[in-house]
Amino acid sequence: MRVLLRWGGGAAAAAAAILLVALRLMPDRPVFHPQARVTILDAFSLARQLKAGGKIDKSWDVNGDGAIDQADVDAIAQRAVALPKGGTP
Amino acid sequence: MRWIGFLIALMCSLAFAQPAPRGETPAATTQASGARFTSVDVYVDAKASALGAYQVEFAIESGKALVVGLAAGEHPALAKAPPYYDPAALLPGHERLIFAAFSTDASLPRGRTRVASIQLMVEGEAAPQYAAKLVVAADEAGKAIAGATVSLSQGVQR
Repeated sequence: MRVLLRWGGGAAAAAAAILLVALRLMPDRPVFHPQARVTILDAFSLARQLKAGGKIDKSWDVNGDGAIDQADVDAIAQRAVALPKGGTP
Repeated sequence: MRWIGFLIALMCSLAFAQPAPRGETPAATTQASGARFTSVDVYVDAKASALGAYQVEFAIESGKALVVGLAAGEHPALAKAPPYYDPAALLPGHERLIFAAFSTDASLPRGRTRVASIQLMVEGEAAPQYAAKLVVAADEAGKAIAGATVSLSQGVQR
C-alpha cells in the first residue's frame, strides 16, 4: 500500500510538472491592448488569427458587435492610420 | 507722306508694347497659375525578408500640395486594395498622411517594392518637398524587419 502511494504520488507530481512546463511553453493567445499605440501590426495579428482559425481572445472585438471578424480588422487598421484630431494636421 | 505713316505705326507699336516679366514666358505663367497633378511612388525595402505589413507616415514638407488619392502597391499581395488611410488627410490643410497595409498571402514581396502611389495636386511654382518615415515593417509572422527602409520617387506629371 505504501509503495503504491509512493509511486502514485510520484506519478501525480510528475504529471503536474509536465503540465506546468507544457502551459509555460504554449504560446499565449494574443490580446489586443486598445490603450497602447495601435499600429497596422495589431490589425495584421488579428487577420492572421482569423486565417489560422483558432480561438481568439475577446479583446479583439473592438467594434463590440459580439463577433470577431474582418470588420474588427478594418476598425483596428483605421485606428492605426487615423490622423490626430485637434492636433497639428 | 510714306515716312509719316511709317513713323505713326512705329510709335503706336512702341506705345502698346507690354514688356514680359523678367525670367518668365507667358506659357510659364499660365502653367504656374494653374494646378498640376503629380504622383509620388513609395518604396519599402524589406531586404531579404518577406514584407507582410508596413506603415508609413508621409509629409509635405514645403510647397503647396494636396494629397488627392492613394493607389495600391505593385506586388499582387499588396495590389488587391489601396492601403488603409484616414480620408481626412485628403482635405485641404492637411500635410500629413499615414497609410498602411498588410497581406496574409503566402507569396509576399521581398527586397525593394513599390507599396503605394500617392497622387497630389500641386499649386505654385515651387516644387514641393516630401518626406516619408517608416513607422513599422514586419515579416509574414508580424515580426519587425530590422534594417527595412522607405524611399520616395517622384516626378510623374499627368
